[in-house]
Amino acid sequence: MLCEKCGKNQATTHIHKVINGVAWDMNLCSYCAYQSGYGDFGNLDITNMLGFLLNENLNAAPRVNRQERCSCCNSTFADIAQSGMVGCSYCYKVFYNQLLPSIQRIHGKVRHEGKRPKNLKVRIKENKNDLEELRKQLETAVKQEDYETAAKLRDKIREIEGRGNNNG
Amino acid sequence: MGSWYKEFGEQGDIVVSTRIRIARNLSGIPFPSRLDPERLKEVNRKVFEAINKGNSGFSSTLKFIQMDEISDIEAESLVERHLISPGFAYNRKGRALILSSDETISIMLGEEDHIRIQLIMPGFCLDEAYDIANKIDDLLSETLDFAYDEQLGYLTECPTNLGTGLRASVMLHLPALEASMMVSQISTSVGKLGLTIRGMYGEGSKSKASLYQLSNQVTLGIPEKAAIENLKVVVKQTMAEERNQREKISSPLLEDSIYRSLGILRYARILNSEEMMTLLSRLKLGISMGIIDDVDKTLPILLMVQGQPATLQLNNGSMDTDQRDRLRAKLVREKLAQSK
Repeated sequence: MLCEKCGKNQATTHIHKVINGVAWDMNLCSYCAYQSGYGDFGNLDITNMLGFLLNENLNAAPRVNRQERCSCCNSTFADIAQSGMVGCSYCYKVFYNQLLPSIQRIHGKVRHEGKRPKNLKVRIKENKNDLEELRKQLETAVKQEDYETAAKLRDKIREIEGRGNNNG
Repeated sequence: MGSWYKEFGEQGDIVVSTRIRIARNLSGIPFPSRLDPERLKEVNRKVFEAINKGNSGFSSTLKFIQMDEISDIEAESLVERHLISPGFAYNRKGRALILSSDETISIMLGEEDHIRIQLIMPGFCLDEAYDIANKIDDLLSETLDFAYDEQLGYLTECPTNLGTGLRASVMLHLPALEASMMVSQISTSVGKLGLTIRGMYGEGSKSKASLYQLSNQVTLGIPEKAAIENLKVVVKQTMAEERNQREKISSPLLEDSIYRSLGILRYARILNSEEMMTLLSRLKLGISMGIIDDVDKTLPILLMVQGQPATLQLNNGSMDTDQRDRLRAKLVREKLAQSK
């Protein structure tokens, strides 16, 4: 069912009001519900709030580069904030800093506990091979005084190393 | 074990069904809503191959259903049997379903996430359902590269599923707690444990047939087993409360209302689905409280599903509302007569 106010988004919030014995019903999308002042229910489904949680992050962070796109799925953070849905798994890396506050608010925690994929060990090994290759490239870049490339390679190495440490 | 609505499981007087859902995505591929149907189909085929590769014993009972090749009625009926989500039935392009012949395993491909492993079984059986879902997940991860991050866990389209990607839920029949206006109290207290309770058939709106779904809400930072244990504890408490309230509301008036419901179900010639749900809910309560002893205890839930509009048409051909209401009444009458 579409939102009865904007007619664009899926209605996710059902509002039932009784005023002086007269019942009044309306179906709204999460955004319109929030705009109309129905955003703060004690028992509202958490997924409904996601769009505006993310939107808040978008507005609260002027430093966010609004043009930045995910190289895998081409989403911008504004796309994600609008739909409340992340574009692909890589977006979590690209927009990590923008997403984190919402994730914290949704779950209360930001560190996974529990199961890991069975084939993860193989992937860690692949990371190790990648690391050796990247270190060689870094060495070459430094020798050639190509500091821009060197900085990028250093970040990449740190990222993989970070992942490796967490695996332990 | 068979379909949740055909069998009476553990604690079946209150717990109608148990459901486990695990969300998984493939690394490096955009989430389904950003894939065109052809690309989505490729991904789906890859998943089906992965499930057939292992010699787990699942594959022989699993059927691959291309969702855009089935009719609206077939899709709607899958929703009514809780095998797929309403959104999955509404937009079927490129989507596929892997379904076991006993209707306990249903794997949605191309829903919100690439893979949604779902186990649904009768009664209270969280551990059993999770074990099977977990095995399917292991089997798939042998050949598929899942999107996973050491900090955020399994990556999902909606951040509410991050971490374990696990949603465990039980469907509860709570007529006495509902009558005593106690469901909202439960709702407040379970929130503190990262759980949520909501009415079935229509989010946010009042429950039909006093059926409620209790499930975990938080998926990040809590291991699977702990989330399931939390849910178990709350289900047990809720069951105890419901039984307690059933004793309290027991009265000649309630007994009369239950017998009247059975009377209408036995003799009505026209039944719309809402009325049927209400009456069957009362019948279920009557059987559970020992007031009615000549009706098969599996019947109320079975009829609640078989009497739904699409499932009714699936078994008897397409028809309008009036025809359906007459056929529904006939189905209920006949099943009750056989059950005596």
